Amino acid sequence: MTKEERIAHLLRRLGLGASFAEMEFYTKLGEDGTIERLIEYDNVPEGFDVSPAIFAQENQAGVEVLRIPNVVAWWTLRMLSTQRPLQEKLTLFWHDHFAVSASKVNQPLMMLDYLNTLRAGASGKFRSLLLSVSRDPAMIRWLDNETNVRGKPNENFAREVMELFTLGIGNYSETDVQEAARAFTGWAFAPNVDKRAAARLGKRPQELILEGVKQGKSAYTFQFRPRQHDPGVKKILENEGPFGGEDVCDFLAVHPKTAQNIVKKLWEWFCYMDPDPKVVEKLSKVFLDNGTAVKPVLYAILKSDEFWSEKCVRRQVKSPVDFTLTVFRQLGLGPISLAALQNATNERAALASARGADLMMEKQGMKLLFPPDVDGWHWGSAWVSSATMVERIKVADGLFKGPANRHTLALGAIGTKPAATSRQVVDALLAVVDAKLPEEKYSALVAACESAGGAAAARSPRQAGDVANAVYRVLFASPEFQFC
Amino acid sequence: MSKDLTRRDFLKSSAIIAIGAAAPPWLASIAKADMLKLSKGGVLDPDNILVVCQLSGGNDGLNTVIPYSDSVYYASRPSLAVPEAQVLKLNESVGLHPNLGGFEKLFKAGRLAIVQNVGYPNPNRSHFRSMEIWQTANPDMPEQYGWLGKYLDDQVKIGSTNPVLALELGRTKSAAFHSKVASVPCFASLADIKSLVGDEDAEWFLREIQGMGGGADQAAVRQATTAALDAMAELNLSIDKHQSKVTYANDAFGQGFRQIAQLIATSLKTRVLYFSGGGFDTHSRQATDHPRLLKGLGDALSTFMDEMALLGKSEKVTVMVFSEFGRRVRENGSQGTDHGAAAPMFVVGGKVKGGLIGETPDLQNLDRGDLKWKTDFREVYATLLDDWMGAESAKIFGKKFEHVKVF
Repeated sequence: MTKEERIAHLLRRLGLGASFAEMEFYTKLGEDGTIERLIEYDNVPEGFDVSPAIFAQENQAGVEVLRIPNVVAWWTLRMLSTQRPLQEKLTLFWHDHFAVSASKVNQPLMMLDYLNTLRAGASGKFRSLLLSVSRDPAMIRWLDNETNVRGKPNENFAREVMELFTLGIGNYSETDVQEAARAFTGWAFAPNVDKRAAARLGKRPQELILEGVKQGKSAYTFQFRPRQHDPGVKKILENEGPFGGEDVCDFLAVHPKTAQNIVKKLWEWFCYMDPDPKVVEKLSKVFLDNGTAVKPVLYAILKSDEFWSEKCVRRQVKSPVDFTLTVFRQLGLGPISLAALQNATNERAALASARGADLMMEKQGMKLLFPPDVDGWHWGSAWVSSATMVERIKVADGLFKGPANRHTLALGAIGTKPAATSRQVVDALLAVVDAKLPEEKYSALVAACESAGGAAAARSPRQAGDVANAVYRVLFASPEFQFC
Repeated sequence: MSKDLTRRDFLKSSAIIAIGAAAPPWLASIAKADMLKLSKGGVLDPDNILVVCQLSGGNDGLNTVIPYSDSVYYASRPSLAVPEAQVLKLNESVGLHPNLGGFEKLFKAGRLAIVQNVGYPNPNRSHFRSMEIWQTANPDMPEQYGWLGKYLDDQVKIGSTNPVLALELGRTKSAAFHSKVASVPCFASLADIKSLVGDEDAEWFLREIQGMGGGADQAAVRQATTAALDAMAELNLSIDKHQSKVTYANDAFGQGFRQIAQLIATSLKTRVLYFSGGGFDTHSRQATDHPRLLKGLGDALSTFMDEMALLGKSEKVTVMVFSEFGRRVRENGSQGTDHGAAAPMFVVGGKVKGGLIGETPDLQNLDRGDLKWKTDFREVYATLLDDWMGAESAKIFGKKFEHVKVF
């Protein structure tokens, strides 16, 4: 691989795709500089300081509320605009791992808190993240822990924390589940608001909560209810004592089976499915030696030969985020939306691209903040079905059929160098979206370009969108373009 | 020549056998097997259709088919038990949830068989593993292919190239359809069927770009896209030709069964349909969510069978309803129920012999708080595969299972 190819591979896997602008920027940094800038993202200005609260709208009662679709769109806008792509990619990883769905939580601000919890702990120690997610109000509500009380345990969280978040099936007993449920009794949550202060100010508590969110506060907080907690002795995984939920989280976080599961999942997220057991063993050691920290595992992955191997490069099935948001970023739709936000009087207009992308991803099988169940989404080849391929093809229509600026967008993609032939138009359109196809596939793409008017149409501010639409429909249907 | 195994082909091949001429060996063998079963007076017919309806999350069997005469049921469920007076009684010991009027109607018409206490050895209480067990029909170890996928692979082996032999309504394909060679299209909605075909050039580009080569991972993409295009090409002219004369509710089950009916009415080559409804993981607030889901399911199925009757298809369709497990007998502290084990399965159709199969659930004799299984779910699958679809279940499961008396 050339230097550029190696950097593009890094951006496809650790970032949200390789756009022209990013390739230019990171190539100057070199490979080591790129790795450091991607992973040590805390040192990088994010380039996104939009509060989700500005997308709140008045409801029928005249109270400002933030709705779930706007929380999702705000996150998408962040993914489209961020200069810290790994931060969002890891947040998404943990959203899938600690899968909580708004379908049951049904509180937009609680989902926002949950996303912030994931983002804050995304590259730190798993041990801290497990505890903070377990105490996160959205998780408590999602797996019913606020009703898990002394004498009447609810096993939902205790089971899933072992089965899906840490040890994995087969590494605990049904008794462990029942005993752990007792340890988590009394874990609940409350709104982060002083109700008396609200009454004094003559405001509804929810208005004060939203004001707090605008200032960066959480909307809800964890609450321990000692009277609902079962203080008795529990036997969990060969430990015996009057444990609380914190103890259980600790036992689970540092367990060797947990290490194996987490590093395997990280490997599958950044590289490919079903890694060699030796790879898992090596990474587990790194994970445990570093007190369950995620960053050292990432560095170890990038140092492995396998990451740079033929088995890895351009062989991972794109998730709907990889497929959709990468193209949106490559076409520059993030900065366009942010510019609209600065100029627009109507904030919602700035969310148009993000909401369009959200709908496309939902139809491809990934509705952000609504994972299908507590196991998260199914990755790899599971993204590909007849239904989702139809939707991937239609992404081209979504970009270039409807929107008013579709010709401008297409002219931007086709480039400033005038293309003389359909082949050159196709080459330009493929380069923008980092597509690489074998020579024999070009005849269909060139024919599609011709069918929409060819090179002459591609230069026209009234037809360029149709050309991009025709070519991208075919590209988006190609087997090659489904991999990153 | 088309190798779709349609009724016409089937009749042709039967005729060939009858006059003793040399039929292609694969055709002869299946036709012969089918003829044998037909001559035994079974319900087998080459036009038979199987609809599989999956209830995801673990349906609470005890609040679906309620053992209302058992005091343990009431003692175990202080907030969730359905009072005896509201139960739609089926016999002196069990009855249906009051929201299952649709099921009661089907039961009274003799078209609903309820198989009680269905499960498998060493019940797994994980949603994901248990659903996988049901979809691959293998409780012993993880398996690459699904039970319907294996059935479809056999159909390909004997010559079928029918692109719409099986179809799933959903964005992703169930593991039940995972197959070695057969390709099964899935659509989130039937409205998608018209989306890529119609313009010959545009369709050609999409087919041409699929190409060849690129290894197994690219082949999977090619198969999915081609399956979509082939199914669209097959269905796009007929799919709109059906005007439903019944009205379905607007919930997931209503809209699911509405579209299943539309497919059955317009796609004469489709024999296996799959559809999932979720929301059954009722750890809390079960009293609000579960009755609503049951109403959706019962009404949709009953309306669907009404529509099948109007189409003259009720004797050609069998619907099987299952969930990955039932729920714990004793309710939890959240007015909900945790993961359990055995639960009832439902088989509905014009040729189905309605009634209750198996004993009333035994609430005294539990396995860690859950119902013990009495009937292996593969017995129900085997019955449907062998007696309804003309397959050889022993080959698909690697062993022979008893049949349950649903036909």
